[in-house]
Amino acid sequence: MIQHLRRLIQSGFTFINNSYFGFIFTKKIYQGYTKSFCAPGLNCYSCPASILACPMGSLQVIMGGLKNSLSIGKYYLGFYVIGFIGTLGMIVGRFPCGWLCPFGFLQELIHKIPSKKFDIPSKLQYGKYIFLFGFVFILPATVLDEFGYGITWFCKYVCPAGTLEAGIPLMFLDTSLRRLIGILFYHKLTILFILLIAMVFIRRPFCRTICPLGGFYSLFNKISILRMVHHKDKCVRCFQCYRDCPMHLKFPDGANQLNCIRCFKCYSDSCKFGAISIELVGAKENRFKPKEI
Amino acid sequence: MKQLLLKIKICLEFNVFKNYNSYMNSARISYLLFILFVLIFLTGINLGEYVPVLEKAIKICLSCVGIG
Repeated sequence: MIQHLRRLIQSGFTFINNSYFGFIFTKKIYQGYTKSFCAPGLNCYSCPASILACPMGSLQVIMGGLKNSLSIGKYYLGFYVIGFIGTLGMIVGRFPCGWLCPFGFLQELIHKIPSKKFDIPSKLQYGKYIFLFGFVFILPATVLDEFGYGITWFCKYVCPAGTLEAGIPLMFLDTSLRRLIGILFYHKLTILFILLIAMVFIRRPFCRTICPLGGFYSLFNKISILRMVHHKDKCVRCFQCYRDCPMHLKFPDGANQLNCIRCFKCYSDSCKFGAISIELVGAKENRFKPKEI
Repeated sequence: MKQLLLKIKICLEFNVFKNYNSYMNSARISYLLFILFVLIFLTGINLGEYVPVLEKAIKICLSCVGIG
């Protein structure tokens, strides 16, 4: 039941996030005011149908303009974007990755293609923090052009969502852009192609190893208000949760791990022994409530 | 034997209380951090940071596309 609801919300949010179909007639991307709001998931704002802004793209733009904004007395430090995704993260942790992210949804759909499945080395999961701090914060703010602006490093050199949702559709839409295709486009196309192949064999490879937004949300998993609880006394360590988990996590090794996307599959489908529950931290009814002496 | 069981019981109860206190502390920290991030978000709105977000989002990002 929960997983059906999740699929419904994932597809519904992907549709809402990309609900401007006027681009077919205007041949332009959406330019309305809703684009001042950030999407909770990774969705390129240059996608012709997108009506929201990408939080990671926006953050890179603000970091890239940091020096110039400070020099004119405007303190654009990324409070708007960090505050928004930080508030979401503090309430539900990495929940948006599992329920609201269009690119995460795509990865889950592609992984349904029947094939032999593989896992990835666990150390690769730290790659997303390199992209988060290096490509989203440090490089855009420090490597500046002659006018004092930094570039959007992650969007430019890595982001496969941008290539898929914006690059390819815009090439079909605007013939003048096709003349500008160069090595950078093929570089990004290669990254997208490798990841699309990897999605067939590996569960959510982009979310686990590259996604800076997932990396940001993951920092809140252990301290968010919504948390997963592992009841060790009821767990028989059958690892059915591990087999079902879209992020390939072993729940008995620790609830609220960095990669847990709060899809609740382990809670709703996998565990038959009541060893997994969900709680709002600090709520009146909880497992640590002391007994009366 | 009875005394030993009583000691074990006291130890267990003490741990429950210890866990309970640390749990409630972590809950307080979670809610405080939540308020902090809401304040950061409101500060961003007050500073007008949605303007550069909108300005960037309504133009085709050539970098994102892979041609910039």
